[in-house]
Amino acid sequence: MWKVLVVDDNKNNCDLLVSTLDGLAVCDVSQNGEEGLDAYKKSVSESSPYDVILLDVAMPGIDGIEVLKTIRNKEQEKGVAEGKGVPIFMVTAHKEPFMDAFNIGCTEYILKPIEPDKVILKLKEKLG
Amino acid sequence: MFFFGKKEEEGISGQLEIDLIMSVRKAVEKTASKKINVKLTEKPVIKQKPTVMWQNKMKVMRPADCVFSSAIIIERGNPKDNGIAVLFIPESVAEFIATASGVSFSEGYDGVMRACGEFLNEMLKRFGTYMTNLGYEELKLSQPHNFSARVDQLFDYNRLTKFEMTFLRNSEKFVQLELGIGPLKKK
Repeated sequence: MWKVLVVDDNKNNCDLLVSTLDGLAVCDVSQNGEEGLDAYKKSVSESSPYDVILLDVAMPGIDGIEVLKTIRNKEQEKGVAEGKGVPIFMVTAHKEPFMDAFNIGCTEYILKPIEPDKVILKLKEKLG
Repeated sequence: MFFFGKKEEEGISGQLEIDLIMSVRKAVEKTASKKINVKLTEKPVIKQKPTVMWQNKMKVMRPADCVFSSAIIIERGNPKDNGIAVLFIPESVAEFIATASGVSFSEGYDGVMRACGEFLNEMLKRFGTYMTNLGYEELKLSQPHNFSARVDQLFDYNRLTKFEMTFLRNSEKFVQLELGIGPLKKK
């Protein structure tokens, strides 16, 4: 079972992702960027890192791009080699931030509406 | 370059375009790893740039530091949804690819070009597989059109912007792809 963090301010989207991964993953859910970062930091400090983070872009407070940037910066500070950090799949209705997310280091970029089969396919490809 | 028909002119439109870029990235990284044992651990850099038009055609210019340039026509069901892909390889990397591919010194320039072509073919095969796996079964890739002997080449596609994707190794350019995505100009 994968350990997955879902970060999305829309509860319906969180529920859809969690149900999509039913039987494949144990999911933690955060409903804003601050909570998501706290969950990420806690998982690192407890040496129980997430296998993947599914991250919305447009959220009140800290948005998904900032969360992505913060996590990648923290990994860099800790000497984690590029490409070896936690896989982060941006799951969003917005295509415009794609280049920013790509250049910061997102692993995948999935546009909503979510297609469960494609999400699982991309997760399996990445996580095996 | 990839040019695909789409309704919007600005920005990256739809999952197809994103999947194209992500699949190209994976294909280049995997091919470098498998064929010439190079791990491209640095994330590639993507930029959006204006295209250069000449005689109502898009001018694709080979970067000055590159010796290999090859284009691939892509069809996606409707002939109007054609795309095209161009890969550029710098001189030092071309020589490295040739050496890593077992090309002997006596084969000279032709051997280097052949090795680059084989690298491209392998990359395209992977790219096609990735896209098929994602459900884009209608994609068809042409044979590569090598225009390494020319500085530029004109293509029958019209697009205001393109995406330039540069893969790095030890902070130096490894290969460069130009990605342009629709809409197409009718002749």
